[in-house]
Amino acid sequence: MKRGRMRRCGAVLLLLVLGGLPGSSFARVKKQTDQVPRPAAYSSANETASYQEGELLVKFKTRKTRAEADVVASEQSAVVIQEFPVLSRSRRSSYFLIASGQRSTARLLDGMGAHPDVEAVSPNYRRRLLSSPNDPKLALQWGLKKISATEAWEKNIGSAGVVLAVMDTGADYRHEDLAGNIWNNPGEIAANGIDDDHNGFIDDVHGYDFASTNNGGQDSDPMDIDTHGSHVAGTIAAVGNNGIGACGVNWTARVMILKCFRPDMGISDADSIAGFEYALLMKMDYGVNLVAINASFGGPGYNQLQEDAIAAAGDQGIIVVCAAGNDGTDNDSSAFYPASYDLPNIISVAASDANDQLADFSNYGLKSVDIAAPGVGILSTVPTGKGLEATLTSGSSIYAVVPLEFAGSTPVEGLNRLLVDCGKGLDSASFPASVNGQIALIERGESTFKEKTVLAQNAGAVAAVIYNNEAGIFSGTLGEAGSWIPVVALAREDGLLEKAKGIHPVTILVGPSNYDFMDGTSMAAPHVCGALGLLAAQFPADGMIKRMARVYTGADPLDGLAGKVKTSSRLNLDRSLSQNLLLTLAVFRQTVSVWVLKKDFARVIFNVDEDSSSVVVGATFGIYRSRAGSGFALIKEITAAELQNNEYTYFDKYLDNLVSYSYRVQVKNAQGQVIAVSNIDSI
Amino acid sequence: MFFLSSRLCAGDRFFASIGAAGAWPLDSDFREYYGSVQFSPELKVGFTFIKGFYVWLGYSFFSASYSIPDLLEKTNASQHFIALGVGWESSRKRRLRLDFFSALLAAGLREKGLGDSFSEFAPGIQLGAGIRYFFAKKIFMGTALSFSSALVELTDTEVTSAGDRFLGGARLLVNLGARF
Repeated sequence: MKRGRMRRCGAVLLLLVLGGLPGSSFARVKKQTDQVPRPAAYSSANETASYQEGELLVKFKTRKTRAEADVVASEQSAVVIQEFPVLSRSRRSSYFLIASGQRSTARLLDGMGAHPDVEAVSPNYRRRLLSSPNDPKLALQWGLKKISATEAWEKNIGSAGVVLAVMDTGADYRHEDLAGNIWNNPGEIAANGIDDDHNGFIDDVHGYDFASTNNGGQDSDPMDIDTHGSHVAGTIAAVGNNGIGACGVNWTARVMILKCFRPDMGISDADSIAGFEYALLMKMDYGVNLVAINASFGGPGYNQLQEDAIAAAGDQGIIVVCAAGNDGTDNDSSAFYPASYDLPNIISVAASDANDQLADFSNYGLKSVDIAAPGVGILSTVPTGKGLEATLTSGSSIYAVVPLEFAGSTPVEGLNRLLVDCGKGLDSASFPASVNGQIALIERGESTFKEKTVLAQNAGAVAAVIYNNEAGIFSGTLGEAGSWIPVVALAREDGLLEKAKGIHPVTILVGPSNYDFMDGTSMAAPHVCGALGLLAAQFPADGMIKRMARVYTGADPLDGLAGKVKTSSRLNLDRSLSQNLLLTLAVFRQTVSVWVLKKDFARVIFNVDEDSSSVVVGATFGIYRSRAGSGFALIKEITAAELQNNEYTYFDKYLDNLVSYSYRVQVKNAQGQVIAVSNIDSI
Repeated sequence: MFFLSSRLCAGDRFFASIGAAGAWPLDSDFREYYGSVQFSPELKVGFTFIKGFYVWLGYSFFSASYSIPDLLEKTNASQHFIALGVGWESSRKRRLRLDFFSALLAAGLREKGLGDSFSEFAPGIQLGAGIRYFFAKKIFMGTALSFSSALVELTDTEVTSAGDRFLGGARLLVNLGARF
């Protein structure tokens, strides 16, 4: 990590919305009868989902060979183009991807959906990535500080025995700051063209490419073809304490790369299912200690087959950390998959900003989004040379600044010159002679960036720093390509600070980098995925549920997240790692109806981890409730003696309709000191 | 007026009875929560105006409790019926007489619990038949089978579930009464 005072820079969120075939899309849901739902049951949410035309994912009721499936598919003028044997084995069913050159997906849905042997069908939805690499900088790894990673690292820095998978655009496994933490398949010899470990994948040394444009769709090289996956991987486990670049949540871990992204269609469900299958296979049959899979992608369109694949991962204790989405919408009303699948092994993650507010782009959901993590202005690794780094160093302060579009670059070592105040830079008189050969400091406003830059260049300035005329930072453009000097945007508060210093030396650096800032829930999710890795290193005996409980119970409750995410909380790595008393709370909203009357009530269940049950002897447990985002108030107090099998259930009678409630439990010892708090759960 | 009253009172034209019935509530949801058979007291008064035909006014109700599992809370529901109708009693010279009656009802439901209560009224009807045995000149015992029905339509609210609630049901009544 770089040292010094880091300042915010603004952010622009650019989504890689791929495919983009709005229109009809379809979802099929398994019913208890033999009847397959008809297409009329399309949900409105699905109408914005895009899918691979002419393809269909099919789940059969019983095991079928590929040949048998082909026979069924041929009735619809389709052929099987991919099978999912591991998932089929795991779920005791049969899963295939079929394609037809003659029939549309809608026709395939009708035809296959009505077949008596078919349990579920789904279009092969395309999922989009949830951030882009060109977001402006905000701060240098502020997110790690926010989640108290520094303190956590005093307890554990991760383990090479813990594997975390990144299902994404691939990852740059040769990156200076990633290579040391990339998973190596011990049973595979690189590039020998042989499936050494007989897992069905040739040369799968670091993972696999399930979305290749070569070899009929798959190959062994999961190199990042974008920047997104490398950024995610770096947040999870950029090598720490190596003296270069950035630092991941885990200084040490192993990242398995599941490349499922195609430039022309994003991440299709078929490719992601193949990726989940591979992960499942490596854990089930090859003993890989795969703790979690990061899934920073998504979109509308329920797909039972993808849900099954994630459920199968859960059966093997694999947690799937999903980005909640970047549309700024409520996932409770507009589901976003895979984050919205109602599965116990999914953690749905919203993005929070440096002020601990929900990021303005982040999806949320009191019922369906679990937790928030830093997701604005996140610095991490990108494939070598594909990042753009811009900093302004003044004394001991390092400001993250935003290069203006089309502006020039500095030499790799930067430009070390005097910073000269040039006012608003509205005319040549604004530029003193002393700016010649130096760096111009200009206030934004009253003329275009291009006009200010032209004047600065004419005055002999070698670079320009334009500070905002309102709070915060901005991004801008010089309008057209040209021979421009380096020009960067600076936050107003920082600009005023620099202006107040008078003429003084600074260093400006604008140039290609192996690191970059990005925004998105895509960037938030890997913080949580990384946390699971660190927890696995610290508590290797924990199961999936307990590991997730540590994340939730250790999180920081924040006013800005109340009513937005289930736990009202943002990840806190140190607290998750520190708890010696694990108090897990789950709340369910239920309706009791009698003859005429009905009322909602809350079933509040908390339990004390068996390992720490001795800690609570003589303790009292206070159940606190918050109504509609108001403060927490004590509603019930019990003694440890009232726990039954380390668990207590309280019925909170009665609730108002359409009002959200949040609960948490606080434990005090006999001396009245708070010794533990539970996670917050909301209904 | 006095003359009219004197004439109407002549010949023991008034009667009053008190009875108890076993009621089988018409509403299946009520039966599910509160039971299929309910004890239902009844008060009835009447006046015979011509040749065995009489008008009558009655009140009956039944009430039951339900204990909600887990929540350890009881709810109570009751149905109330005020009846105003006409009836016919067969030959007044015999000890054993047939009795047919009908009425318009003002039926009410009330349920209390879950920290709230709800009540509602609805019109309904009642039909019934029975026998009366005069074991003394003015005292009789009787039994009757009746059926009553009223409908309350509820909407989904903060405290109520939507749907139709049927009040009433079948009743098997035994009573003791007197003419005067």
